Amino acid sequence: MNTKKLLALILTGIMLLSLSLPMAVAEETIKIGGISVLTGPASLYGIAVQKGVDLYMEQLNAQGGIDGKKVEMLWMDDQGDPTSAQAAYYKLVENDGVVAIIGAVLTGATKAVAEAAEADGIPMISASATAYEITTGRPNVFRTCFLDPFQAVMIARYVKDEGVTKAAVLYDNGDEYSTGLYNAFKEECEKLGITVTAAESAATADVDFKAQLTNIKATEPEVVFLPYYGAPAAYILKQAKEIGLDVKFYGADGISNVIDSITDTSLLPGITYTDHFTDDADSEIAKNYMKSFEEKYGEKPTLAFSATAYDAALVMTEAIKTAGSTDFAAVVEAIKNSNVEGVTGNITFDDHNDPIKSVFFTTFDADGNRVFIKRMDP
Amino acid sequence: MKSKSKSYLLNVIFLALLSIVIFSLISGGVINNYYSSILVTVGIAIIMTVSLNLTTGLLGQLCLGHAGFMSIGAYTAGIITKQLQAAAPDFPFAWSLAIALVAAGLMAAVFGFLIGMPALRLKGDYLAIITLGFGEIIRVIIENLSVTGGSAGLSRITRMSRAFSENTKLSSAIQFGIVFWIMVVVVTGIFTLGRSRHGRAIISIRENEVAAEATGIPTTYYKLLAFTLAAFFAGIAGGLYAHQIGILTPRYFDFNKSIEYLVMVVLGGMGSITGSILSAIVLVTLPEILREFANWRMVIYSLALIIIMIFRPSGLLGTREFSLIKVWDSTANWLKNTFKRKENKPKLPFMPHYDVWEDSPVLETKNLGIRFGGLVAADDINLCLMNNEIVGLIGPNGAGKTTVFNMLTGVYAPSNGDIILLGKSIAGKPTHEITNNGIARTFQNIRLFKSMTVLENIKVAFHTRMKYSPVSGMLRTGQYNSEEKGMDIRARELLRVFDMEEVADDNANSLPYGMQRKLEICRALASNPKVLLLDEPAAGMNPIETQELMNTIKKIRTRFSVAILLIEHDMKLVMGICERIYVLNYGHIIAEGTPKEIANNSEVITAYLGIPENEKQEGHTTC
Repeated sequence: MNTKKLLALILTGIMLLSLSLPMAVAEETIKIGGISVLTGPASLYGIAVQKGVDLYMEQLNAQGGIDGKKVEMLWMDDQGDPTSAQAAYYKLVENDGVVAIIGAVLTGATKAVAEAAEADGIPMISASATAYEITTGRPNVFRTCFLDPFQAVMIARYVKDEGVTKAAVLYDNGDEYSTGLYNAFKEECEKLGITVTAAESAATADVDFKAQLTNIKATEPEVVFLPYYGAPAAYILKQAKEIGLDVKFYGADGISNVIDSITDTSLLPGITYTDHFTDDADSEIAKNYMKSFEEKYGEKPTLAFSATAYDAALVMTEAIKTAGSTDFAAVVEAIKNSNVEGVTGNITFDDHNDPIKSVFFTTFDADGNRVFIKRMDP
Repeated sequence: MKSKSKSYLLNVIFLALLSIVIFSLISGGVINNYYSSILVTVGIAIIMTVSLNLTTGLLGQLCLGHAGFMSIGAYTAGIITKQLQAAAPDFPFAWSLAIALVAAGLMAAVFGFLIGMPALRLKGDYLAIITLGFGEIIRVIIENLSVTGGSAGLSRITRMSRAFSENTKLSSAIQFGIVFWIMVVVVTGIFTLGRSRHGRAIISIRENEVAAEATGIPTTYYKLLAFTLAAFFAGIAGGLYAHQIGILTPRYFDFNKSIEYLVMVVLGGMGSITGSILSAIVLVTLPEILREFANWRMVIYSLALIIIMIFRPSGLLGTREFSLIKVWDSTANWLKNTFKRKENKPKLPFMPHYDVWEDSPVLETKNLGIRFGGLVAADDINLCLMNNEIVGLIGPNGAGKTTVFNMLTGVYAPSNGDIILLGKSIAGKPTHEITNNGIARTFQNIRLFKSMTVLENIKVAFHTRMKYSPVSGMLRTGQYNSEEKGMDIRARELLRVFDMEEVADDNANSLPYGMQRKLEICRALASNPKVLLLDEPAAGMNPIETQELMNTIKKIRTRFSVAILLIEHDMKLVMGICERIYVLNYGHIIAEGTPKEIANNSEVITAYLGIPENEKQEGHTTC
């Protein structure tokens, strides 16, 4: 009984403490809502986004904010769950009165938020949701990352430039990201006259790819396109070596964290991927971003999403400045007409609210450091 | 009684007022979209949890794929409204939603039925794994179909919170109203079903499947019914979800989602419907309340779960219920009392008429035998039971006595020979059908429906003698009322015969041992059999209890006009009440006769005591 009472007391104490915290902030601010996946297996991406946005907002507030008003970022964890993301959206908009949304991070959650945001007309920018239809028919929804198909197209063009004529694909048929990249890659290859010798697929969460890799090896491709995230890609590279499939591998942005999963770093130079940003970018703002990120967090950014998130915050706040108010329609209009120099390059938006920007081809050296190869413009 | 039904009526008024108050608060903007979306999520979670409780709590079968049914419903409903809107833009959304929800439920029910047919032959862990596999298969199929949008899923499904009116607040309020009343209907439906003969049948399967079948419950039918019904409601919940959130991704309905609902059921208490409601409310709102704690919220959430499970291991409410839900009962009664002023006449359970005359055989076996692989467990058994006769079946351990019982009651299908009950062959028929035809039995190790009351134990056995349908059980129609009343009268009457009326409302497992034996006999008699099989009724009884049992058995014979076949090791009892005795050894009948003849039969003595040392030589030579 006593333990119960004690527990009750502790819990009540925590509750009271939490209630007293928000009251400390009272000055007038511009509130922007952030919805991100901050817990669970995908929190790697969500935290990267949060760090990028927070870094920019800190710098902005240090310079006086927007017209003297400080920007207050309110973060909500959606755990990658669409229902939770939509509830978080309503909490931010209806309870906290935010004037704009940055997020969400994962595709499903972002769709759910976009569905609600579309009806309200609130300006929204996702830094990481790459599925095509998220911005379709939603004039107020934008993104600062490029699209899945776009990356695949650029990769196909890149390998064409390298003189490749035979390519194979191994993809995850249960993953929207993976199938989307595969379809776009196949299409562009047909256009460019590259033969797709094999298109093997595996189920989500598979860890044994040897059967597919053996089939691929039999068709003797020059390169293999792997539209995968880092963890399964690490398995694939290892197993490809085991069966003696010695070709160059290509991936899109999702593969960039392969370094966290791979044990044999000597396999890393065999992979080339497209990224939203590279640490070696030489623009002034990019250098500043790299330096201040390391100062604030004590480490280099692990994912390019921190950079796209930084740009999302930049685009959003610049648009509020331009609009001169937080009126939804005015801010949306300002975002639409953005032309700003961001960390990931110059950003403008096309008719579909997707950014028009460059792709950074990147690879690794044998010690696991990223090596910038070249930048391709659309 | 009158004040009781009045208090129930208050509950209905309370629910109606609650919905009206919340409705106006939402449409008036006091409850904003955030809170109303949580309310809707809670409503959907309640439908999911209560329907899962039907299979997991009431039927007692662990189901790990409930989210699979939800996804079928969600996709069906989403596709239907999208298609309807594309084909006929002027068609009112309310109608297309109604069509979509019904279709969602039916589609999920069809899948529930198809999965249930093979899966429900398995039990416990095996069933859990099949349902788990099913949930994943559904997800993978949805990921690979083009009509469901593949791994991208469906988006731009019309959302209820926008569709009903230009005024978004009013539209949100209507959304709440729809979800709230569907939830109320589902919850009361499952609740009333659980308190009808069908619900008792389902619960009896959880309590003891073998006994349920032997008491005349078609267990396969009821397992499928519960499973299909749960899938139906989960499908509707899925349809509502699709139109709440507006987008569907296959990954949302994964294994974790099923577990989430299972946790709600376990937390609320397996078998408690109000517990499920309570835990669904708590577990949906808790993470929202804890949003302020950011990273700590999952820790606090998990801690709260652990604390609850430590202090209340059987869930928040165990198997108890609030009176709040007895609403339906009372409204129906109240309406009837007000408008018809006609009481339902009790309709007594149907009493089968057995066409037999004195001294004719009621049960006969002809050359009955069974083999388990190479082992001949029983062979060439010829038994004959005359009307109103008490016959003993004795024999040393392992002689095959219980095997014979199991063949007579259809637990084993005989390999050869025939069983004739009242002139009809019943060999190989399912147990519950044999029970319907007039054979009831008790078990060597008592098999009662332990967590049900004494009265309910008896009522389960009346199941085969009643007619009202599951729907009429849910709606509490007049037929339901009169049959239930009649059954109550009969059950209490039966208990009075056995001097057990005062324990009628006690749980079966709280009875002393002797009483439990008596209750099992009482339950067997409730199905109104012509032949009663008692498997070691005196096992574990002291001499006084045995004496009492002998009197009871005699009383049963005269009062219920049944023939009794009993297996027993207690020779005092066997010799005391049996008119004839069969002796079984190594699967063969070695002797038959009056108690006196049997007591002096040398072969029987040999079987029981072995061959005396001095006669052994002689015995060998004759062989």
